[in-house]
Amino acid sequence: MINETVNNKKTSNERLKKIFSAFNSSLQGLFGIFILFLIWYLACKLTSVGELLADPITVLKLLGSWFLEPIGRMTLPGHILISMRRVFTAYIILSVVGIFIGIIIGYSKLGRALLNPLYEMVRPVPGVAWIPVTIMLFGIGEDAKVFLIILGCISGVILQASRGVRLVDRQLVGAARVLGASEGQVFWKVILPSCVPSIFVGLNGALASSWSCVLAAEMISAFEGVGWIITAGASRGNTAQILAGMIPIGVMGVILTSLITWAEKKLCRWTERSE
Amino acid sequence: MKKKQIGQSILSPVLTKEEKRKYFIISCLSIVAFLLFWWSITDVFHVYKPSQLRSPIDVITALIEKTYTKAPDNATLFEHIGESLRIVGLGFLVGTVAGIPLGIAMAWNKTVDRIVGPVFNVLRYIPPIAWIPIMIVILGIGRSSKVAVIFFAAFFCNVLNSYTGIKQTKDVHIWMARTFGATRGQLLWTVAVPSAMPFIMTGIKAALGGAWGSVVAAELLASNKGLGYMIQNARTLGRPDLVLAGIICIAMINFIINGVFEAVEKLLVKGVRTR
Repeated sequence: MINETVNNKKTSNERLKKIFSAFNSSLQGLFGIFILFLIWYLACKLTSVGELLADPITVLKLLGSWFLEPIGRMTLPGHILISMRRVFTAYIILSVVGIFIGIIIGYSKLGRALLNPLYEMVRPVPGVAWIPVTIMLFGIGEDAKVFLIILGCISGVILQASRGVRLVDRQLVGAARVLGASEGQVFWKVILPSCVPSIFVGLNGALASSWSCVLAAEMISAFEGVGWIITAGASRGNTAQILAGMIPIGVMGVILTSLITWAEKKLCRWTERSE
Repeated sequence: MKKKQIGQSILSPVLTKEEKRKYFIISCLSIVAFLLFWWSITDVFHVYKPSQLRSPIDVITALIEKTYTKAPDNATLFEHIGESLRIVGLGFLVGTVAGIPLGIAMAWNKTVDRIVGPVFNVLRYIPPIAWIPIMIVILGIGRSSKVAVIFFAAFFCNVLNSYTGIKQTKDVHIWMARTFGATRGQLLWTVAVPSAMPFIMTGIKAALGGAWGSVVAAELLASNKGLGYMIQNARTLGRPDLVLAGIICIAMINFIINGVFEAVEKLLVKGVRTR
């Protein structure tokens, strides 16, 4: 998994190649979308699927109209922003708290003895299972959704952060000590940097699960957000609305994934996980 | 003095017998403290109304009672568990059996990758939960719509991981096998697939976790049986004890599934450490 060749000198030729491959992959993505819509369109027109599903043209028209006319309480960008605000508020809190708890569990024996049993109790619960509990305790407001995402998605971050600390190369720690590093220096200069890749594994997973957690929360109790759009469509039996709602969900999924991959590349250049 | 003791955990992970006993007692105390806190905010100080949160004693009572009473949702606990497990088992099985070969084929054969890859890469960004409404409209609120959602959850996860697994086969191993005159089929079955095994197993494990989370979500949304339905129904009736009892069951089953899987994994992937 560790990158074998690190070549910092990029010749212009390589850069061109990189741009070309990025262009190529985005072209392939567009091609994939096109093929998908074509299959969908033909299936609707030629077979009885059309009676069950709306065809892609209707769906795209509906999606376009949401930018101008409100769906439910607001227009589509409004729904997306609301969902994003929920995800990011919760994500920032859960990353900070999760990394903190994870490092305590990994670093200190006492912390591990104290926190690990509680953590192990929460860990096997799937995030969405907390929905009824958060609704009962906090109602259906914003706080409830943010709390739900934190509770449901924090465990992966804690797990990876604590694993990162425990898997620190002991020779590095020993070497730093022999060279006279203080306990604080060992922690900040050796242990913390070497858990960054592991922490990112956790953060990566947590982002994906927060996204699906917020969708579930919005599907069950909300009056706005992209999750609401698709359940509202389902309750009316309006397949065009459901399918049009799934498009922004997919697009946001792509954007979130590329954001975290980008951040990971910036912050841990020295390791490259295989995708 | 204390600081030094904490720092040593990195260098000496092996605990002495005495330390083990000490930390075990601390762990127990931590759980007891948590339960006492829970009990005090419910039964003693009544911070929350009984319709919001009940004491741990009530939760255990509800859990035991539910094993033989059908109220309030027309099924005993074991019937709910059976329903959820049946859906997960079916969806997971089909998703895995279809997903792993497709992932391998995509990684091994360029033509398959070119045809399926783009479509797959568009669809995989839609979280399994977002498939629920459309499946409900197409297939109704019966068992089949949930099986379809679980299928998606397991399928995408397995394709991705087996694809990655085959792609990371070491070139040296392939060259070596070629030099000794291996056919393309032999290359796949004796070199690529065995070396991808850890990845495939990781995929199956993640798929199991995802499937279990998705079934809860699907049952929360639209169902008339299953653990997710049980907790959702208990919420609408204002029975927090039953909600938490259901969550305990969900967590325990997840824990057991994981444990069984890890045992199987150890048997199958000997000598290879997974990520």
